[in-house]
Amino acid sequence: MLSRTRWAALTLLAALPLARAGAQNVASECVNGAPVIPAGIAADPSAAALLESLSWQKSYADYARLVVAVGPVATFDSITQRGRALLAVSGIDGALDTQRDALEWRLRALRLGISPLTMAAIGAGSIPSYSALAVTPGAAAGTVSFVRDSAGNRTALAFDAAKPVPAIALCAIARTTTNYLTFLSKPAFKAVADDYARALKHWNVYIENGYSMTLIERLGNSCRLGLLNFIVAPTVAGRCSDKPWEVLGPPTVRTIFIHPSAGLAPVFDTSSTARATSIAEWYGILFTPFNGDRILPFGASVATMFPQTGRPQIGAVVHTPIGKAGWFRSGNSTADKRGRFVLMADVVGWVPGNRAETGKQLSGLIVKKVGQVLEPVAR
Amino acid sequence: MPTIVYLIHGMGCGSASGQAPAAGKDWTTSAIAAFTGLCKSFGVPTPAVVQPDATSAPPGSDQPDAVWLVPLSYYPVFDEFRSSSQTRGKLAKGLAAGLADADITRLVGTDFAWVNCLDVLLWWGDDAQTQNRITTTLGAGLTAINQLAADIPGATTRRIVISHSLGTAATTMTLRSLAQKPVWANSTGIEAFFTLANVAPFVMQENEVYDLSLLPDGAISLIQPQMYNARNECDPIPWLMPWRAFSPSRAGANLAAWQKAESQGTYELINTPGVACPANETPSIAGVHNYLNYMLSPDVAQRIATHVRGSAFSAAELAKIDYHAQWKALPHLQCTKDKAAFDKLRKSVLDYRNNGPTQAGGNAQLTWIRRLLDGVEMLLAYEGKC
Repeated sequence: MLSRTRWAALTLLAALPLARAGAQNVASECVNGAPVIPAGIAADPSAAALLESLSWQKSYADYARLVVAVGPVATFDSITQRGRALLAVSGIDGALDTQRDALEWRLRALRLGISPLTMAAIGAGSIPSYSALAVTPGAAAGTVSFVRDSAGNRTALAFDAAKPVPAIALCAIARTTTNYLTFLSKPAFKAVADDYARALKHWNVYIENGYSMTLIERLGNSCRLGLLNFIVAPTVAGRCSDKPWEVLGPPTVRTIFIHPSAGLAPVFDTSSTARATSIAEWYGILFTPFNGDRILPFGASVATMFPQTGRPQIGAVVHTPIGKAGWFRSGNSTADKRGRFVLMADVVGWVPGNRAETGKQLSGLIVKKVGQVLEPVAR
Repeated sequence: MPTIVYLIHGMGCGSASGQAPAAGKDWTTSAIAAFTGLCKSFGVPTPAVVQPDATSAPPGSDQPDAVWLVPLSYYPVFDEFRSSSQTRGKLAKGLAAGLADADITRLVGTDFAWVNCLDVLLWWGDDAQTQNRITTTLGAGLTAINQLAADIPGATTRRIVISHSLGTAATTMTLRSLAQKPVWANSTGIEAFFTLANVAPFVMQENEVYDLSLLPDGAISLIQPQMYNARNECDPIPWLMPWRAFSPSRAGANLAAWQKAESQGTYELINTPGVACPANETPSIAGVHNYLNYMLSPDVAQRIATHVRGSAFSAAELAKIDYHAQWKALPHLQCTKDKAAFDKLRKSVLDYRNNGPTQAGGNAQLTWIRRLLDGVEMLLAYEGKC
């Protein structure tokens, strides 16, 4: 059985490799924005405090206060001054001149870029590019991919195991600067996030309340019908040249083309209060603007009503945010004009999904009906 | 605090019927488990899963080494269409009028082909809506979670994107969309962009795929600084159009910049071997194209772990981790009918890659869908042989 002392000794031995691994993780500590000077490293007594003062993680509240008190450029200067103070006690020598020069050059360029900017402009996303200052994992252990030099080439920064403080200081300056500029850009990042969220919400609303397209309309809307597209969907042809990444959200205008619907014509006669009809909208235009997150579709189309009895009647359909209604020619020659006004429901829109198959089936029925009607005429 | 890892799936994550998968059966379940296992293998912190609509940061997010895993799904856009289909053939014919009846039969013949290939057909046939909705969906998830992380006081936010198959195209499009926004274009952007079985050049134009806004470590790029592109030796999908397969040498007007990225190592091609899968699953030969087969492959896994941790692993650490042995211990493909089936597949893929058409026919999209069907059928045929 092992004595308590030997257990303690073994435990200590087992911990040694971990301590070494910890020392090697100076790189990831810096990349993750939490630089520390490893225990047991000989360094100026003030180095740890100066590093803490520079570190974004530790001094975030101080920087946030400074931005309000003295403005973004003075806060930027404060970062570089804290960095220089740390470098001054870090024992940096010529071995890191390339990295230091690259960092200094980038910081000067950035300062020039941000000095004329107001807080409002910064919040709107006008900060010049700071990607050159990105600090990411290096190709080898104990290194980081460091800032780009003035020629645009990425430098590498190695952490000397025996003397890591100079590299830690350089890395911390770059990391704090990028974190600071990201912090200043938060309103602009949020605006972009809001744009995407709004566009996604609009898509969902569009699909639920304004989508309703047969397959042929959908393909026309996507400019997939070649020359026929200019017949099916000339109003959206302009969107064909759009890159999907340039325009977010659903289209604000679309063409109606051979779109089937069902309708109810109020008659209030002795046998019934209303007559069921089917309607084919042949051609029209539908605008689908948004007011906030509400879609407000409006438009008009030329349509034919197919009553249960009698001949089909030509007319027009009006689309409004609260529904659509049609007005058709009178179906008889008498003075009875009832049944000309039709309240309509979008049957294609009732089916979940994009309703392609339903649309096709309904279109087929309509076409068949039209054929039946036209056949005697053709004869 | 945190490092955000976005997972973006490839084609075929939907269902044949278009109905939502049962709880615990969708692609995220196995992807999260595999990624978590990967982190454990390399001794990096266990990730907290954050859904794209999350409104609060998970506990522990203020730790410097916190990792968030964000699965982003776009397949419902395709499933919505699939669910409306009563007759597969009619739907496919309607989408791509140029498809011959024989192609239609191949497309609708198996659930595998239907689920996988229809996504691509829809991507083309309904581009103004499908692509825009996917871009919006992914962009919304990506920016929302970034915002959630940025709201943590004193946070350092790093972003890693791991996309697969059609998801590489969807992500390429989304990142291009983000790059239009100055605040993103000027930021430190995406630290590492993994494309596993990249198909973006097959469904997008050359000037879109190799745009300077996606150039690894480019001055005006969203990728800062690293891009990795992985192919499997036996996966035909990255070779659907060999003359357009992703390569810096095909970067057109930006050729010099992309070749510089390659020579400097900020773009890296990774060739992966074999077929493996997470411990509780059984691999099939068609799994050569599987997301997790790519993700768990040693050269990919090590790079992912490096970015998650924030530093490269030393030789001593790698020796201690011995991930290769851990990977070997995962279930690997075992062909029982014909033990040489995988070697034969390797030869078939080589033939598919080298002896196919050297350029598209009159209709590039039809060439593509036929090659896709050829590739899928090849994998399915070998499943029968294996």
